[in-house]
Amino acid sequence: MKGFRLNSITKKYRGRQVLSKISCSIAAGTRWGILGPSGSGKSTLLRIISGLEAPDAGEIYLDGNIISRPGSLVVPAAMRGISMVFQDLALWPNLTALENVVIGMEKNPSSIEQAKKSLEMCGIMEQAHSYPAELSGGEQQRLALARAMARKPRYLFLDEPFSGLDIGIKANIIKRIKALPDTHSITTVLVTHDPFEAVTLCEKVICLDHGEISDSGNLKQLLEGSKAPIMKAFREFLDICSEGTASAALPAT
Amino acid sequence: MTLSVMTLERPGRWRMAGLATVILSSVLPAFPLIKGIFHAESLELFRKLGDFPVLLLKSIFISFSGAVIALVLGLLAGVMHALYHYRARQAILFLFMLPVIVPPLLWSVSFNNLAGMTGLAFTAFYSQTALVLITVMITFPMVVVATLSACTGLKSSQCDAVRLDGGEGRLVLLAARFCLSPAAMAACLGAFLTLSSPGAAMGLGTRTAISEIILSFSALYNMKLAAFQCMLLALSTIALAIAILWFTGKRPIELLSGALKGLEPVLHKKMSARAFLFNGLCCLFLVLMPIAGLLLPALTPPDYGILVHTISRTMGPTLLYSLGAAAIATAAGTGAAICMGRFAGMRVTGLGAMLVIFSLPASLTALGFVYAGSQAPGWADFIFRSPLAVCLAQGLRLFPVPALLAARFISSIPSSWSHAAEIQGVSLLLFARRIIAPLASRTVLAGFMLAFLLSEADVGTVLLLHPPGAQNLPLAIFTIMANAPRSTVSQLCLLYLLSASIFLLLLTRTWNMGQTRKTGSPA
Repeated sequence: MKGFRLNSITKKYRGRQVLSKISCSIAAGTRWGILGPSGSGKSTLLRIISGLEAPDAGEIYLDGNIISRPGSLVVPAAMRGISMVFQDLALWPNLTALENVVIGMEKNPSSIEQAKKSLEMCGIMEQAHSYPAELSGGEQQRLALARAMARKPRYLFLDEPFSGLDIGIKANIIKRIKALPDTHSITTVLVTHDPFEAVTLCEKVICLDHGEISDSGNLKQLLEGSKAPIMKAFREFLDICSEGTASAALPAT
Repeated sequence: MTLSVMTLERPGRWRMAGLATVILSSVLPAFPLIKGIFHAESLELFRKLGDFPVLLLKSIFISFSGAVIALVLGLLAGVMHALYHYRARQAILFLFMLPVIVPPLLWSVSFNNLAGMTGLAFTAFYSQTALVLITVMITFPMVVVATLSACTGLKSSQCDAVRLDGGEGRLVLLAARFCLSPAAMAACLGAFLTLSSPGAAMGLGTRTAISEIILSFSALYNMKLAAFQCMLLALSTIALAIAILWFTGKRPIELLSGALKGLEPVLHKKMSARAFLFNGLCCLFLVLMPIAGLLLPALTPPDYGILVHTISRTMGPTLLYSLGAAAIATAAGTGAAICMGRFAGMRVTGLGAMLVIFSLPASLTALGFVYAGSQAPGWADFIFRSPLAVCLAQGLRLFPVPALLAARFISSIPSSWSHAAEIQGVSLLLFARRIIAPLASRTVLAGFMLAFLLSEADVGTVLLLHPPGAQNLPLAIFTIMANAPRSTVSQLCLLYLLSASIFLLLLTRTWNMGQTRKTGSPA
């Protein structure tokens, strides 16, 4: 199988169990979501898969090869073909937009060309020589996406990147990300607790609750019948929203 | 092998080893001295102590009386400054800082002048009161800075909620309560500084514990007695520092070393006027009046011969000692801050230990160097009998100051920066060179300049360790103040004050530039 396979991943922080025996697969070529309420361990799971942290127990395989084992990273983060857009975007304020993109790439003219292409693709080429603080919220978001895309990753991890964005910018970014699996053969993995983001961007999901997988599979099917707490909450929320939409559509009396 | 950026985010034995090395290095010179005392006849030394224990208690009482007054005034001034815009706000804050960056000796010259002019001089009441006042002057800016730092932990929305609930008075009260523990810690640090600074007491002709130690060493030539007295003083300060740390808990350290945020002051007609009035009065009595005490006698035509001679012979050593000490303090402090990283436990332990070190009398390390120099072989003279000894003794004592600033900077850097760098394949070296170093440079420079100013103001260490004929300017003022005309001494003091003020202005600008740069962060 192409993609990640997690085998009994466990992680503790200061004696507190954050992840407990997580076993699942993230197959390539699909738009994935890791869903769960705050503190359920979804960001930790993403950091462990990406190689920013090693698991305390369990192994991770990528395309059948081991990449993480207890307490050690067999393959470092930069070699896993992963890019990530962080919740706070993690743009370096003293580098221009172009420098932010190009700094991690090899020093040659083709890297700069690649970085410029990435900025172009995300519609931010005109601001290539601006500093992050000089960009609007939406432009910063697109810069973070451009930086992630410049290294031509196979997997794009998105750690709640839309929090605090207004709806127009959010729609624009989501449209770009949604097209990635088809246009660039990239598997996206979105971490979120927002039902709208999940429904818009994810085909398959892994539901986490208190550091354990409560359900996983096709999102549409899970929304219909899953007993996972997060799915129940999503269903209730989407029901309320659809009621709101229906009542708004009623003619005034 | 390329080092991973994540090294900065992960725990490791190197952190504890590095921190322990820096902290132990700073107290290392005192160990042979303490060992030497225990080899000496302790009973004999106890007998020779005379009224030193009484003086020690008196010194503690004077220092802590000043600290309590400074705490009350500084806490209110700091809170008013943090919460409200008022006229000449930046200028008043700048003036607040002046007393702490010049040697206390200068203020004793000023109070002597003022007392001479008003006929109060040479009464026991006058000298004790003046000593308390000097403690207040030195401690007040430290309390203000600690209060301002702690206030950055408040959010504007929290302040607005209190405003809506109980008005401005309640806000000031709650903000003062919020900042009380770091302000109290700063007040105690101020008390420790004056407790171990001989300049003010000797300038005023008052007997205190530290002046007695200097006397034992330089007038009685009794090294062991001086060391024993110094050890008693150090034990008292360690006991007090640990008691204060235990009492205040880890909150002040967390607040003072935490991330930098901005609490925007507001313009409120009534409160802004009150802030101006209160802080203006503090400025008048704690800064401008003592400056007037130096200025008025200095208005007579100067004796250029003495001035030029004194400055030309002391400028070299003054710069050499301070630059060397600041470089050592900055290197050790930045290293310690990197070792502590963003780990809460390490920061509380490390900064707590540094607080205890900072409260130790400077003379302990200095006497340690003198003692080690007397035991060391001739080839080691380049360490123990050279300007390097002064730089090392001062630098190893002052490193907590740059360490605290660097720790605050590290807190303000989001961990996602390292995560992004790791994922993007940025090496540790490149990350440090291109991303961290340019942002940290101003903080490191500010730490360097602050250590420079504090080391320049230290008379005690230079007095004990300077090579023959290589006095710095404060020590030269101390030496000539008994014989030179009052006007000349005041003119020298004013020149020192002027140069320190220019340096402080540069420091303020550097720090402000650093803050502006940091607000560019999207985080």
